[in-house]
Amino acid sequence: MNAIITDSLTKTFVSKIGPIEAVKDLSLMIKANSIYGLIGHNGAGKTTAFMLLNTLLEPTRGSGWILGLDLLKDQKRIRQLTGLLTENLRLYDELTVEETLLFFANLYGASPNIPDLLERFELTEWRKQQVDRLSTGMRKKVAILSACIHRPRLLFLDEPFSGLDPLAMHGLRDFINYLLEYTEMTVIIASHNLKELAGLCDEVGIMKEGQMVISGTLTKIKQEYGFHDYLQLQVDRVPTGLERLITNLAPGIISVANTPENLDVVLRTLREQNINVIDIEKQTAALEDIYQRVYQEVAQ
Amino acid sequence: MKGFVLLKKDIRTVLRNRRELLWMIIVPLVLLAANFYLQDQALEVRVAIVGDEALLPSLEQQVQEAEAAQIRLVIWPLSEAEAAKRLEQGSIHAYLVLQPQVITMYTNLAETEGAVAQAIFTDIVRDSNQQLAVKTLSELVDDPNSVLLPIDWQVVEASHPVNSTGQLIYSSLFVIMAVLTAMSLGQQSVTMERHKNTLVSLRKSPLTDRQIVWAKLGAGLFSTLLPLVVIIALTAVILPADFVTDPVFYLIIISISFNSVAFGVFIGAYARGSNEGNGLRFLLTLPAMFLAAVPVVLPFWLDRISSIVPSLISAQVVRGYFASGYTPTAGPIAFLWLTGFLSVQLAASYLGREE
Repeated sequence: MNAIITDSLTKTFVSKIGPIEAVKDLSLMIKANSIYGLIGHNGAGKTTAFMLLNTLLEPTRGSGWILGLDLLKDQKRIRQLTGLLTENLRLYDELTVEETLLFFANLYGASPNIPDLLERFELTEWRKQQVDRLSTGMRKKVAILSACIHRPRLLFLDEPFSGLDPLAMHGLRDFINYLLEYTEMTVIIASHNLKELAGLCDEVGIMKEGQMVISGTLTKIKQEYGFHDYLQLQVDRVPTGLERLITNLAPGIISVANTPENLDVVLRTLREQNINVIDIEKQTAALEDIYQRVYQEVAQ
Repeated sequence: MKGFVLLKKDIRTVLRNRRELLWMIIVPLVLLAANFYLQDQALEVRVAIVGDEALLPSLEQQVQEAEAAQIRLVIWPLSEAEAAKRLEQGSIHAYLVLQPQVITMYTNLAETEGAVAQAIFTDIVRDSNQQLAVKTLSELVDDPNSVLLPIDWQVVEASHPVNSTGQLIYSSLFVIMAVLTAMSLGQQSVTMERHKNTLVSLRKSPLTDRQIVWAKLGAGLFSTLLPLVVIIALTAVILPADFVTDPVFYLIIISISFNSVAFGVFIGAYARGSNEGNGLRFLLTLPAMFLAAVPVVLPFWLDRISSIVPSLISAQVVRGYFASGYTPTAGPIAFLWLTGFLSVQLAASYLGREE
């Protein structure tokens, strides 16, 4: 089942310099109970897309279905079933952690077991602490909990990793995985942190100037753009006759594109030339490289 | 009833922000004390009385009864010719020709300071229709040659006694609190939600824009009226404050607070940034502040504009109540409520406007 289906969703803003198409013909299909990453430069249209999918903006044209509900007709139901963490959400400084969660729960008429949630997310100790006295990581955790306190089936997170230290980022990653595993939520993340997204997401989409340039699994995107994972081999001697297939990275270290055909040829040659492999390391093609390539190609 | 969840949160936020709340009480009290001290500097006004001397004792008694009157009156019963001569020489500030229902004041405006002229109006003939007197005075001021012309006003029954404390202190105080502060609080309640990005979370929730705006209005009213109650209680203890027991006063305060908070909420929802919001608010509130403190009659065109600007109407209602003893008619009060409701409706439609 798909959590989100959109067809040519477009949003045009009227400005002094003329109409601006913030989102252009967005056609998406996002599977339920998966994590989808949305990537793009600032102003690429990610936040506007989030606003459209949360019914906070009306599309200029196009249509969409969120959890099977019509984006244009079932706005109230959609808002009840989705959760949204906006970028730089600062919460209410004067409220305590517990009060903040209770406030958002009451807004949605939800009655979650807040002590249990606090315990699960290691916030019990801070429950009586005002939000402004928490660390950035803690605040982010409270903000995400607030966004999903009503147990939405679809959660949108806009830049959830910004301002987090590596430890907090790790905690957040676990938290998102927990949401997916135990609550069967679908999570859509817009972020510039490509490394985190690559590790978390089942599928990613790259937006540029309001348009979705490419969307799919990382493997599919890599194939489409000719990116491969690489194997880095430490050998006691550099083989000969493989110049076309291998790259010498350092004395005794070679790199080979991780495709079955390549591997077959290289391993056979190593065996024939009696070369010992001391160590093997897999180098995954970075999402960052793909992202840069996509942006370069679109620019051309 | 979801709106009450937001209202409750906002009230909790206000009460928790004790420093801010304290400042909202302290600052007006400091202003009140400073104003009171400045006004307490005795001003000697020399006034001669002409006419039916039988009226004189009651006039003197009136002045003495005015506990907060800071004007030291020196009154002489003189003949009209003698009084006019002394006025021309500058040895008296004014003379009054007393008749049972009409008092005519002669004063040399070229020589008389504004404060003295004001003192004559407010403390010598307190139960009078001052609007007529002020109007005549301004006409004289507009024409520099028209000195020594008579200023007539009918002696009318005011709904309650007025005095210079009311005119100079209370009218400014309540305009500051119920117009300036109220509008600022209304604006901030929306601007802060926008600034913190929590407005999107609220709009994303099952709350409607109208519920959000009404909750903001309720919270703004709460944070305006809470310090006002404290200030009214404190001033009633230290200053003559007959208004404390007058229901009309509370009707005025609630009406103008409602209107100002509603306007503030509208500005918060309409303005794209806090600078634009502040500019709009200053445009509306500064003239009101000025009007509350200074007895002026506006030029015709400005008068026309001011008669439809809610904040200026609010200031005039407060000033009319404290300075002239008027009970406001239903018209201005109804206008304030009507424009208040209109502001709330507009705020709801602008809250989620696309940028």
